[in-house]
Amino acid sequence: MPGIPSLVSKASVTATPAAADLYQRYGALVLRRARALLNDEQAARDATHDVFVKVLSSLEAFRHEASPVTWLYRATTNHCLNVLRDQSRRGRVVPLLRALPPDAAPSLDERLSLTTVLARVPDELREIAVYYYLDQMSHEEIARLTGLSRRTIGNRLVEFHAAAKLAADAKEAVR
Amino acid sequence: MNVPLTRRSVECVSDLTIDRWLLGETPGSDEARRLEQHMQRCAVCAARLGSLRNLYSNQPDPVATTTARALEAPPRPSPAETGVLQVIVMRDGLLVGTEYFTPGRWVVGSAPGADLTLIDGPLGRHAALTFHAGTVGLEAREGVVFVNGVRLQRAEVRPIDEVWVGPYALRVRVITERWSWPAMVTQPLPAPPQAGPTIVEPPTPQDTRLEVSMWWGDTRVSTCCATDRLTAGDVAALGFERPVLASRGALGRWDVTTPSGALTLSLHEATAVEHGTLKLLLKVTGAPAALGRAPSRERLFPAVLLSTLVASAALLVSMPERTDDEDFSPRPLPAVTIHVTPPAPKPPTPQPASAPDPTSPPAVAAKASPRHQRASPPPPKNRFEALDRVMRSATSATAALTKLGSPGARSRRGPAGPLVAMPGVGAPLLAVGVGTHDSTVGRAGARLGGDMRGGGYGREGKVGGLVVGPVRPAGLSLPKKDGGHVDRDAVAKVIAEHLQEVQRCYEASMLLEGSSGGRLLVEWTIAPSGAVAQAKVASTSLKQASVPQCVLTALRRWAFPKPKGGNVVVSYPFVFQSSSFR
Repeated sequence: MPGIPSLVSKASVTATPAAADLYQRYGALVLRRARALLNDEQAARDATHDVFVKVLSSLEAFRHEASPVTWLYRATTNHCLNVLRDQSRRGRVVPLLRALPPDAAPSLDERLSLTTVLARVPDELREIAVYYYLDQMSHEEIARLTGLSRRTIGNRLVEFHAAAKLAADAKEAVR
Repeated sequence: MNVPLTRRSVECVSDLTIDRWLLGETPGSDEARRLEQHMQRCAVCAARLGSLRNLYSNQPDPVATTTARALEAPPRPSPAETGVLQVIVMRDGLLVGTEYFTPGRWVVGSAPGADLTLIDGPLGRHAALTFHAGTVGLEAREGVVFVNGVRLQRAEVRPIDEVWVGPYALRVRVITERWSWPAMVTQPLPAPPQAGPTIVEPPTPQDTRLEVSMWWGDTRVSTCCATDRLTAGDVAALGFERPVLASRGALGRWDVTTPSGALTLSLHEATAVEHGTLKLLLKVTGAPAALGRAPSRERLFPAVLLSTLVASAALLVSMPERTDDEDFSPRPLPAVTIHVTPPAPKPPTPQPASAPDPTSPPAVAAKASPRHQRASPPPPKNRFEALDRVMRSATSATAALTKLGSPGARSRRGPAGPLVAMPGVGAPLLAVGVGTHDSTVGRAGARLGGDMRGGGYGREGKVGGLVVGPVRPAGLSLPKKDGGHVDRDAVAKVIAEHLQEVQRCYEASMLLEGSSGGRLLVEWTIAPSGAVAQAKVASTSLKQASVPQCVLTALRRWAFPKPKGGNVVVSYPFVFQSSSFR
């Protein structure tokens, strides 16, 4: 019976090439989306590592995935949204409206930042909003990805937009 | 990176689609084919693709790099500090050696202090090389210099020129790094020293031009070139949203006005205007005749090179573009072609009831139904009455009309609804149903053109497409020469391929304008080139005001099969159904 150290070394030897390949192939993809969602370079790198830990823990399932990119999209999104929720619980203050040059006259949608709005809306709206605004997916793509109906996608996006405007209006009123 | 709550254009593809294509998940699929076709006409998505490709090939992320560059603001090298000059020294046809110089002024000769020592060459400080802003100048000092066999005092030296200094032949070569952003000018630079040998005579205003290009990171998105002035319209045409103006001033310099101020660019200088992640690069370049050059023995070389390039480009254009993962194999399509006969050239005249024209619509109905023929009804007052008459007798006329209109579609797809023969003004009018079930939408949510069936007049709930021939049903006057014909299945295929864009128009309007169903009847003219010559909304019952304009904008970019014989007018209703969406 091999000892624990030998098992660990064997596991690490067998896992290393797969992990390295996966990371090399999909690491930039995950990091790019985490960076966009978290708006923090260090947090994005941490999130990337966490996502790949999840991948390695369910490596066999991942290998049989029809579209690893789609799987990683969902995993990254859910993980980053959890991180954002934890941050808001810890009271991390992020400005709601983006700082833009004074000469620009942007609409409210341009001033609102996805990251900051995400922290202020209910959970069920956030994932869909990420796909819609960050990844520029259509309703049909989101429906395929999440398994929800297109009607539900449309409903939730309307709710998200209303919630974002409500948050912005409240912010303006406080000023 | 702050992601705004905005969307790209409605027809743009998502990041997920690009990612899957880049990471090799969709080779040869319809999705990949649509993406490749879209990339050829959408600069925004092409830029996005280039950005992500750089990212995944371990290149620095252009967006992140741009941000870091903006924050750190490292000093950029001035134009005079870019590149390295390589001088190749030959004697008797053999390579003697090479030497490298940074920008500056360097002495050539056999004197002890010479920077490029030519042993056994002429004594003293024979000549001087000046290397400045990527340009090499040569000046004879204590000796004699021949450039391309002609004795000169000063000259600019290009890589194709041959310089003779005593028994040595010199060639120059300017080595730059991997292409990088040209040095940016933020304030007017002093005029170049006139004493330098680089430029024999100052360039005249006709000798410089401004190259304008738009970049996403290190990816060139679009390029134009202004010869004498750059207007805001030129910049807007490139897709850049900040106002930038430029005009040529004295001595071939360019006066550039940017949102951050005005500046002057001299030859080989450049500046960039940033807006978001896009950059507009303005670079002043010189025409070859601007500088006092040595007489060239290779006068014919540019012409030969140009003609070779043109021939190569023509060959490339004529060859079908293929890559490994592209799927351009012809898709099997049913060979169903409807030829719409041009109208008779005679002017419309009322037909007597006793002797009906066999080509007139009542006669069509009569031919379909012998009972009608026996009844010999009076001629209809107008086309709508005639049409109603036809539709009332649909039970018997349907088969005849279907037979008249589209035998191929009927046999292939079963009964596809009645094909409508609408009476024209004294001339036959044929309208054929598009008849396709290719729609991929029409499931839950907004339902768009789900049941596309041939013909749609008076049949509530059916969505139809009409490829209308030379006579317009709505009474619009089109010249008779416009009568052409086109493969209706091919038109239907193009519409089906682009339905997603229409779908996105509808989805984009949902957020701001609410959702409610409706019918949008669009009419457009397909020119002989296959492009959409004109498009308009014939009627709409949609409440969303943005949808018709969005659909028209998307429609004008579609490429249809080339009709034969002239223009073809297509009328197509899109039906948006949103049963319980709020």
